[in-house]
Order: sequence, then structure tokens, then C-alpha cells
Amino acid sequence: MFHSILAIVCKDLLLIIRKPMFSIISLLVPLLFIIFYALVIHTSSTNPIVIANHSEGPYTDRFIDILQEIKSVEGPYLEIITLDSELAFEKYNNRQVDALLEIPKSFEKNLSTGKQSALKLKVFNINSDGTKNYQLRIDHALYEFHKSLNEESIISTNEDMTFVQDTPMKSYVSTGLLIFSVLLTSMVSTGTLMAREWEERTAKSIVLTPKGFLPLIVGKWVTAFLVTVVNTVLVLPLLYILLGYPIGQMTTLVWFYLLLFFLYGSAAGVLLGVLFKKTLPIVPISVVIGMSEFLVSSLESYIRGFAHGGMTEWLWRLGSWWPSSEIIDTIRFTVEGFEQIAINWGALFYMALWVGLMIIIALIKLNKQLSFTQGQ
Amino acid sequence: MKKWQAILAIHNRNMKILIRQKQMLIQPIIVPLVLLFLMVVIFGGGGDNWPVVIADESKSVESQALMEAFKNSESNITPYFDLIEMNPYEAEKKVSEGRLHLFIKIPDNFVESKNIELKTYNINSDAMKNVRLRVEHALNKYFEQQGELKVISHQVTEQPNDVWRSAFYGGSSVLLTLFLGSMIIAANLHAFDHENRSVKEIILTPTGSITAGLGIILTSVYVSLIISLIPLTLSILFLHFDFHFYNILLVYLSIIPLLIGCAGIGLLLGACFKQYRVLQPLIILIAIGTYIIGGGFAGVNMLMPLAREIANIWIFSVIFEWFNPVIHNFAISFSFRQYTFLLLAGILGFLFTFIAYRFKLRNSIFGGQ
Amino acid sequence: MDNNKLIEEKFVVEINKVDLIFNKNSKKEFKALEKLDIKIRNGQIFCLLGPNGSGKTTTINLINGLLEPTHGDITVLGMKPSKSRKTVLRKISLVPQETALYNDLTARENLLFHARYYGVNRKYISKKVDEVLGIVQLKNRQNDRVGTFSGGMQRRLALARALLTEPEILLLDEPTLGVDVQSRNAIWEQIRTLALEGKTVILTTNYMEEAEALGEQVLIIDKGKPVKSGSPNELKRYIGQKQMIIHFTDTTYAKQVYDYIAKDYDVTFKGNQLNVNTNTLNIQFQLLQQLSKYEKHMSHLDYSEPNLQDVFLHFTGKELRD
Repeated sequence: MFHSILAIVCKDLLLIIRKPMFSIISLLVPLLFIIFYALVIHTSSTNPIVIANHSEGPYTDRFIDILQEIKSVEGPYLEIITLDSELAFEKYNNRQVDALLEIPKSFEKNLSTGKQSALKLKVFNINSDGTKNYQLRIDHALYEFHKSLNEESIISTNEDMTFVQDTPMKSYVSTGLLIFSVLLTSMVSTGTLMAREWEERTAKSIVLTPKGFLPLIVGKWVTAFLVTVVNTVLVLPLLYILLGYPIGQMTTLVWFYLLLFFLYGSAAGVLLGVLFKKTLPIVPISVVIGMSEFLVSSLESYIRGFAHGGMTEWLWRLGSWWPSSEIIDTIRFTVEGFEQIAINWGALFYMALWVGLMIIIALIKLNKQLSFTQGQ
Repeated sequence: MKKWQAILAIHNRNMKILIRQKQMLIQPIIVPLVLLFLMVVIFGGGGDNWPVVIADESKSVESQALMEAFKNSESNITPYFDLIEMNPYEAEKKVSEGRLHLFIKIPDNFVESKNIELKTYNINSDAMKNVRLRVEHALNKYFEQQGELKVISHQVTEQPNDVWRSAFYGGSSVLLTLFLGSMIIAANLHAFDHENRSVKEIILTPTGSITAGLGIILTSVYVSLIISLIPLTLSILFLHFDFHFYNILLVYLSIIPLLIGCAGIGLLLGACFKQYRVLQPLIILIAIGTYIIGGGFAGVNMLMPLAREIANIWIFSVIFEWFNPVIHNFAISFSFRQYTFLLLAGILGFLFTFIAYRFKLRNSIFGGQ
Repeated sequence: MDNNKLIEEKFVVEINKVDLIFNKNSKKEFKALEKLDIKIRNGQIFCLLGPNGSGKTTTINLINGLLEPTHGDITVLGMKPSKSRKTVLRKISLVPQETALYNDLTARENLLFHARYYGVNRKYISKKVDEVLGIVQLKNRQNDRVGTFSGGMQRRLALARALLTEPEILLLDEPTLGVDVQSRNAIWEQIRTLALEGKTVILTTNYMEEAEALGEQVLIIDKGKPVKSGSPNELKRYIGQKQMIIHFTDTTYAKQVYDYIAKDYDVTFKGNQLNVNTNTLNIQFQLLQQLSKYEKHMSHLDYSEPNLQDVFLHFTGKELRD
């Protein structure tokens, strides 16, 4: 058994070395996806804006300071591209920026004399999310400005937070990206390694040995595991550099959970390989499963709070029913240092059950599909 | 005439392959649809209303006014809050479980203290930004009603109505289907000849192998135009997508040269990598990557400086940046420069086809095949 | 020892009244094999001859346990392949039609992989690989990638792979499909040698000359049904006798001779030639002696006998198969 597994692994690794393009691309996909996501995640924290300032004076300076200072744990709320009025309009009119805040000339005078002053926020409203984000950020600046004018006149808030601090969105998403990368790599590697034996018509010589399927499946898993390890080794520093993921806090338990996700991805890969016996559908299906796990399971604890009614609630319930979300949160909280390290036995068992089930289905299917139909 | 006959023959063959090998057709349909579905459901495609429980323990005139301010707070498309009826004890429990992000308590001493209490499930900074900034928006509104707001902001939008986020995703999904479709179908059809060993047959046709490439381009463009009607229809039906007939017609006609360009790239990639399993992740990655940083998820102007720089270099971002404004009626035509570029993309598509068939295909034949 | 003796005395493969139906009780029901009866002795070269889609590969898949009969029994070395799959697979080797080789591995790497996967004793793997490469005459190309091999070389390598495990029964599915004459002869020679060494060889083919050259026992199979079995000679005899064809210088003499011998021989008169059915040499000698007086009117003699192609077409008809 051991020698047979080793034979499969050596053969597959040799084939990977001889034709490395697919493996390189398999490794690149999660890496590039992380890079893409890192580039886009900032839209949730920082929005670019130009300010056309026509006013001068201490109130104006204070307001502009506030606009520059307002931030979340992740970064400033606004990226002020320019304060120069002429340039601001030029950039806005040329569609180089989607929002322009105009501070009128009367701003300083009105505030000095106790009159109300009106700012103009021009927005290219092609996406309601952007419009909302600009509106809320300017409102936040105004709230802070009024607080600075007279703290007692405004309504203050006392916040009781569930966690000691907000997890920065980029760090929150990083765990999901890590899982996405492990899942996708293991699923695509195992699935295509399996399917290739049928696609290249080499399966018969393996199937018709007294060793049965187990060394074949385990061998594929070992090869896929090595590929996934290489992938994870590349992904982690990237997450650390681009998204500040605290890789130093990854405990043994976190690694164990990553192994569990590898098994899940590999089991799904084996099943896909056996079901389709072609690489053609395996890659897109794996991408869809990986993306769904990332967007639904890894964001479940976020979606949970606003999934009240409609399709979102339906999707959230689906995500919360699947064991991945709980495990991902356990990893997240462990890495962020929020919770004591504890094994989530329920989710663990549930996940192991799914892995076992997928393998059993694959084995049944393999046994049934042994019928290499006539003439083949 | 014979050339046209050959191109049409290849096109007919391709259509039959696509109908019978459904996996080839399903990819450019399913990837944008799944992306659209998940984006809409997860990133608030339903509107801007955030579920919240507010308990007014003050029951004063002031607290009633504040409640009104919360109720009346709204973005350009929907209210900012979805007020849920729940007793305070249960609401606190729901927040600690994460089933709610925010519970607002207006305490009985509100009039004197001018203070409200928030209990938050601060799972991440994005959720908290949405929650806290909404609260401040409502508080500003309250001040404004009270006449205490010294500075107010008036919003002036380019179009009278905002494009719903879901409609924006819908438009992007149509564009994604178009360019992913033409590229991946062309690549798959090219790879089909390699995987099925019918390359020689293609090369040795007396009408010239390039006709096979032109046939594939025809199929890819035609099929991608057809399948893009799926996300378009879904967007119109379910995603608050305003259908502007003239604009859509203009987009569909103007994008054809670009699709020829994409199909040409697909053929070139097909000729280089030959196998489905290499081609598919590569092309899907190009497509999703372009969708994310090229203006499909959010306009390039909304991205961080580095991403904006990359998007400016990444030529595919013009697909979303140029066509989305027309789709949503923010522009009613393309500029001369844009038309020139589109034409050039079409010419490049033919050039890529020529390269793929003239050089790459011949190199792929070796002894015994 | 006793066991071996038992195998020698019994049939190594027995297929009794086997029916194989795909998608039974559905609209797509398809009878792949019907009332198949095969008995193969130890050390025999058994040939399944049939047109495309006749059920040859399906029969092979029954023997190796990939398929199970719907009705009837099948035993290989006294065991049911579907029940004792692993034991049966230890004793048989298959060379599939598609060769099932890794194009990006060298010939040697392919064999090493298979030997290791199969579990050949590690000490002897290298020696064994050398040995089988020698048998199929591919030693000088052992370090070349299989993708660069001709069809014939690939088939020889697939045969080498099957020999690695020292099987008792070799299943060869279309072993010379699409190979050149030299490779074909080399493969035939190797098959004959293997049979001489005591291995039972079961091969499928749709080449008549292959069945004739190799098959000690041939079963013609068509549309899933066994049509006729026997040695090539028996099959040929079944459809006709050997003929002596005597050509005369003139039709008149041919007619004269016809009248002279017609009452004693099975003869037909065709222009200036007579076709005489003569199955033994004695009859031929006797006839030639009787005709010595006509010697100067005879131009030349021909002999003809039915070939396996005649037999094949006789039993399977000329209808095209897809």
C-alpha cells in the first residue's frame, strides 16, 4: 500500500515537473486573487475625494483637519486628492474622481457670525454604494466638527462593544482568503490529478491492479497536499505584507484546521474528478465552490448581523448551516487573539462527516463506473 | 465566397460542439452569474437599510424626535435603518450573538444627559463603519431638525437617481459575460482541436487554417452576445436595473470589436497553452481580476491609489470604465478616442488569430500525429 | 503444486451462457453480450475475432472483472473475477487498446511506476524492468519520453508493462491496432514466445491475418453473440473445401475431361477450367495420374482454399458496423 502510494506521488510529481504550466497557474490563481482583493478592500475604508475650498480661516482649517483625520481602525475615511479648487473641479469634470466637496467662500464668515453654512457634495452617482459612502463620511466629519465646536450641545454616544476592538476588515477577510486559497488549490489539484488519469486514458492500467482505488486516492491526496503546502507557504507572507495578517499568531490548532480544509478540498476534488473524469468542468466548479466558501462561509459572521429577510437571510442560513463558517471564525478569533484556543468539536465532527461522505460517494461512483464501456 | 462558406462551416461545427459539450458553454454563464448573485446578496444589493433595534426608554418629546430622525434617515435609494421590533433584553442577546450589529438604547435620562447607548457586535471595521456612521447621520439629522446644525451638506448628483448597487453589479455582470464569454469560448474551441486531435484537419484545409480561427471568433462573439442576455434580463427583472434601449443597443454594437479582440486573445492563449485545464483558470482569473480591480465591483475612481494606477495600465479595465456609464445612461455615446481604441481592439483580435493559426498551430504538430 | 496441476487440467477461463445487459429495464437497455460460451485452456492463444462493436472488449472486461455478467457464470482460474477481484488481478495482465501510458514519462519511468504501484518486490524492480524492455526490444529507447514513440513502440511498451507482473493470463485488446508490419511481426513473435512459456493469451482483433497467425482457438463474435469457434483450419473447412483448379488450353478439352471425371469427383466446369474439390493429397495425386494423358492440353494448375476472411464474412455478413 505504502509503496503504491509513493509510486503515484513520484509519478505525479514527475509529471508536474515535466509539464509545470498547470501547477504554476494553480498556484498563481489564489495568489493573484489575494492581490486583487487586497487592492480593492480599501474601498470599504477609504474613498478618494477632491475638495474645492473657497474659504479661509480657523473654522475652515479645523473642518479640513477633521476631513483629513477621520478614520476607522483600518485607515482614513477619505483620501483627499486635492484641496485646490480649480484642480478639484478639473478632476471631477474629467471623471478622474467620483466626489467633490465644495466649501463655499461664506463658510468662515457664516460660522463666525453663527449662521448656518451649506457645503455642496457633488457625486457621480453611478453606484449607490459610493454615493452612500460619501454622504456618511461627510456626515461623520460634520458630526466631529460640531463636537469640536461645542461638545456639550451634541448628543454623545456610549458604545459597548462585543469584542475589545474592531477587527480591521482586511484582517477579517484575510482568514477567508487563506481558506479560499487552501480549498481552491487542494480541490483543483486533486480533481485534475484524478481526472487526468481518465482524460489521458491511463486509468485502466492503474485500476486493473490488485491494489484497488485507495492507493490511487491517497496518492493523489499526498501530491495535492504538497502542492497546497507550497501554495500556503507563498500565500501567508503575501497576506502578511498586503493585508497585515498576523501570521505569527497561527497556533497548532489553526494549522490543524487548515489541514481539515485541505481534506475537505481534496475530498471535493476527488468527487469532482470521479464524477466528471474531465478537467474541463473541474476548474470552474472549484472556482465557484471556493468563491462561495469565501463570500458566504468566511463572511458569515458579518452577514449574520444584517441578514434579516429576503435572499440574504436565505443565503446566510445556508452558510451558517455549513460547518466551514464556524471553523473559519474559530481560526479568525484565535489569530486575532479574541478567544481562548478551543477545539470546536461540533463543527469539526460535522466537517469530518462531510469529508467522509464525499469520499464514500466517490468510491461508490468509482466502483460503479468501472464499466469502461465497450471498445474503450 | 469559399472562405465565407468555410467560416460558416466552422461556426456551425462550433455551435454543435458548444451545445453538446455543455461544460464549455456553462463556464461563461455560471461564473458571472454566481459572482453577481453573491455580490448582490452579500454586499447589500437589496438597499442601504441596516437592521437595528432601538429602545426608547426616555419616552420624551426629544427622544421621540430622535426616533423620527432615525426613521427618516435615508440614502438616495432606501432608508438607512431597518427598525426591528424587539424587547431590549432579546436585542442585547441578539447583538452578543452577532445576529444584530447594533442595538440603540435611548436612556430614560436622555434629555439631561444628551447621551445614547450603543451595543455593537463589532465583528469588523466595515460593519462598524456602516453602523456608526449611520447613527451619526441620524444624529446630524436630529440636530438639523432642531436647528442646531451649523454646517449642512447638500448633495448634488450627476443623474437624478442613483444607480442601485445591485444594478451596477448587474451591468458589470453583463460586461463580464461578454468579455469572459468571447475569450474563454474561443480558447476552449481552440483547445478542443488539440484535445481531440483534429488540429491536422484544420491545418490542411484548402481554404487556409485561418478560416478556422475566424469561424471561432464568429462563434465566440455571437454566443457571448446571446448569453449576456441572461444577466441582462435578470438585472432588469430583479436588480432595479433601468433599461435604456438606445444605450444598451449602443453598448452591444460598440463592444463587438472589443469582443473580437478578446476572442483573439482567447485563441492566442489557446494556441500557447492548448489544454483546458491550463486555459480555464488563467482566463477566469483574468476575468475575475478585471472585474475586481478594473471597475466591475466598484468604479476605478473608488479604488486605492496603487489599484488606480494598475487599473490605468490594465487595458481590460476600459470594458467596465467605458461601458458602464453608457449602460446606466451617464453617457450617451463614446468619444472618438474610444471608438478608435475599440476598432483597434478588433484589428488586434484578427492579428492574434493570424498569429495563433499561422505560427502556433503549425508548431504543435509533430511526428506520428 | 497440486493447485497448478489442477489449473493445467481445467480451463483457465470459463464463460458459461453469459448475457450482459447495460441499463437493464430502462429505455436505454442494450444487450452487449448474449449467450456467450468460452472455454480457454492453459497456455492457449485464444482469439476473439469480430467487427467493431461486436463485444470483444466487453468480453475482456468481463474476464478482468471490470464488468459483471447479467446472467450466467464466469470463472478465471477457478475464481469469479467480480468476487475475487484482487486475487484474479494478481494473475492477469491487460494491455488495453489505448495503451494507457504516460506520454510525459520515459519508457523506463512508465515501467518503474507501474512496477512500484503494483507492488513488485523493490529489490527486483530494476532487473525486471530491464528484462521486459529487452523482451520488447525497447532497451535502446528506454530513456525517451513515450510521447515521442511510434504507435508500434507504444504497444510494445504496453506489452512490457503487462509482463512486469509475471501474469498467468495475458489479455491483449487489439494488440496490433494501427502498427506497422515490422512492429506487428515483432509483437506476434513475442506473443508466441509467451504462449510457449506457458502463459495463456487472450487477444481481441479484427485482423484476419492476426487471428490466423496466432489463434490456436478462434471465436468469431458478432453483435454480442458468439457465431462460430474452432481452430483457424476448422473454421475454414467449415465453409468450404480446398480446390484444385485445372486450366486447359481449350474449352473443348476441359469439357472432355469434365465428362470423364464428373462421375468420380466433385467437379464444376467453368469455361476452359475445372474446379475440383480435393481435401486430401491422395485424391489430388490420383486425379493427376488419371489425367496424365491430357497433360499436353493442360496449361497450368492452381490450388485455392477458403481464407479466414471468407469465413469471417460468411458468418458476419458484409453489412457495415459502426
